[in-house]
Amino acid sequence: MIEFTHVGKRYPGGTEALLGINLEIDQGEMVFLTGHSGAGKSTLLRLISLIERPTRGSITVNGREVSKLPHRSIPYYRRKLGVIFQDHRLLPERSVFDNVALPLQICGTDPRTIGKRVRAALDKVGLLHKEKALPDMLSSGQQQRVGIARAVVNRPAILLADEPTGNLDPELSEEIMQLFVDFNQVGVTLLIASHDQYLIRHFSKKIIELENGQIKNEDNV
Amino acid sequence: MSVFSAVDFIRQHREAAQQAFRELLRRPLTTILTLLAIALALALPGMLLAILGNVQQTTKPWEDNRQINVFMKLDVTEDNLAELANEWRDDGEIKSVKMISQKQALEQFKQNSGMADALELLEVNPLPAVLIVTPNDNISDPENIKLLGKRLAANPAVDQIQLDQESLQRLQSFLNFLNTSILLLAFLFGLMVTLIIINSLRFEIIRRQNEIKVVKLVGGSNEYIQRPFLYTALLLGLMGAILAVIIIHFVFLFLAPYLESLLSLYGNTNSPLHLNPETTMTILLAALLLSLASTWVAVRFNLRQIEPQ
Ligand SMILES: Nc1ncnc2c1ncn2[C@@H]1O[C@H](COP(=O)(O)OP(=O)(O)O)[C@@H](O)[C@H]1O
Ligand SMILES: [Mg+2]
Repeated sequence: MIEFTHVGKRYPGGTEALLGINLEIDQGEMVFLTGHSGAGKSTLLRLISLIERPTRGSITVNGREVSKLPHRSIPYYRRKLGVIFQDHRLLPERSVFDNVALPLQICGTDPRTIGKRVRAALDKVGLLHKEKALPDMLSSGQQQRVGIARAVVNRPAILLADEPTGNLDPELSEEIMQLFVDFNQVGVTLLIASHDQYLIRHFSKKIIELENGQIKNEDNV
Repeated sequence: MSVFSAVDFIRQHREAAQQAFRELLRRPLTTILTLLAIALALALPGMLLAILGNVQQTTKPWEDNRQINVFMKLDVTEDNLAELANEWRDDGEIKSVKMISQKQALEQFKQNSGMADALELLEVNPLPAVLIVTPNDNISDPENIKLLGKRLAANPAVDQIQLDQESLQRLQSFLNFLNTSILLLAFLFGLMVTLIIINSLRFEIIRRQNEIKVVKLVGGSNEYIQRPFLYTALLLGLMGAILAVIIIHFVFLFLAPYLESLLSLYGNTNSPLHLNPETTMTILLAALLLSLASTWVAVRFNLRQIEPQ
């Protein structure tokens, strides 16, 4: 489903963030990406969501070479991915409902379908009763769950999460991870960057460990 | 299928327009100041264009006037004048001759100028008699009219002649000059409107760049992202234009009485101080085009660059 072949990323400043990465993630897999700060976890995820382009090698997603996808096609490609960030990136001026509805609004979905899908996604993360609230009125665990609802509302086949539990205490972190496991059980492919070794071990899934931009270890459980 | 996509299309545009409207209402003072700036920049050239258009319209009927005004020397008697008029009426190149004696000229002047009392003080009539000569229909091109004029001027009783055509040409070239100047001015003011709108859009884009990044992140296309800004520009442009029309209307309303009392001195009752439909349409259309141009520039140079990190 996701395949990296000899992928390198060098940032304009000269930093080699990734070097000769080869990896393959199959459909329906749940994979943790781990490694020290600055190892290149975020960069790897940014290459998949085309926030950055690789400077070397090729990346295929769903059998399609995406590293050279024309600029115009990027939005349509991104609609098939769900992305989750540590800082959740919600729009502070819009309600929880409108935040979750955004991925549907941009592709012109009709309001009735939007209403149904948004409520289903909010229900899944346990925040149906908060749909009218503004993000700032929620706790950071709740905000992160709104971010997750937004990522899954379009029913993407792939979910990418960059330190989704970075700001949360262990209990909330486990709740979030459990949500990801649930999504994985219905067939969603997940790639989760995290440096929380304890949490990662707890879920016993495939682990890819990065060090200085290279893959150090690949644990198949 | 096509029915549904048309419905989608309309809904998406309606949503973008509503969003643009909400954003404008969110900062009423900024919006009002921007609208006033746009309105004033449109109102000034609009006023000049309206006046020019009206002047050109009222001078149009003169255009095929081929009359020759023949001013007589002051010592020509009324008998001599009538004799000369009859002689010219028989001329093969002349269709008709209208006679205005010195007395009639004075009467007319008194009536039109309102200076009757002042003229009473004069002992001699300073106004010459005039014969207004209309050439035959077959004499229409300016050169032939000029030749006829020269022939008439050769008569010893004639002081000087004045061709309507010549004064008309002079007026026309003056109006052409005015026209070009006003168009150039309108162009510069149009540029100003464009800059004002671009600046508002730039400000709005920078203010909302986090939102734009998030929308791009979840797969919003450039078209989707720029749509509300297009409507912001259209709303600013068109509301500015409507405000400009209102401003022009009131400025004309205020000035009209002053100009009308001035014009009545010249026996003219056609005030050019009114906003004709053509000018109103021109202002609205110009605002529309300037809004589109502004959006294009702001989107091209400010919106496209914003990418998620
Ligand atoms: N936008 C950028 N420009 C330049 N260097 C960057 C940029 N983003 C990350 N880097 C560098 O690339 C390396 C990998 O960073 P990152 O992928 O964020 O690592 P991680 O997410 O594992 O902490 C680091 O050395 C970081 O300083
Ligand atoms: Mg990181």
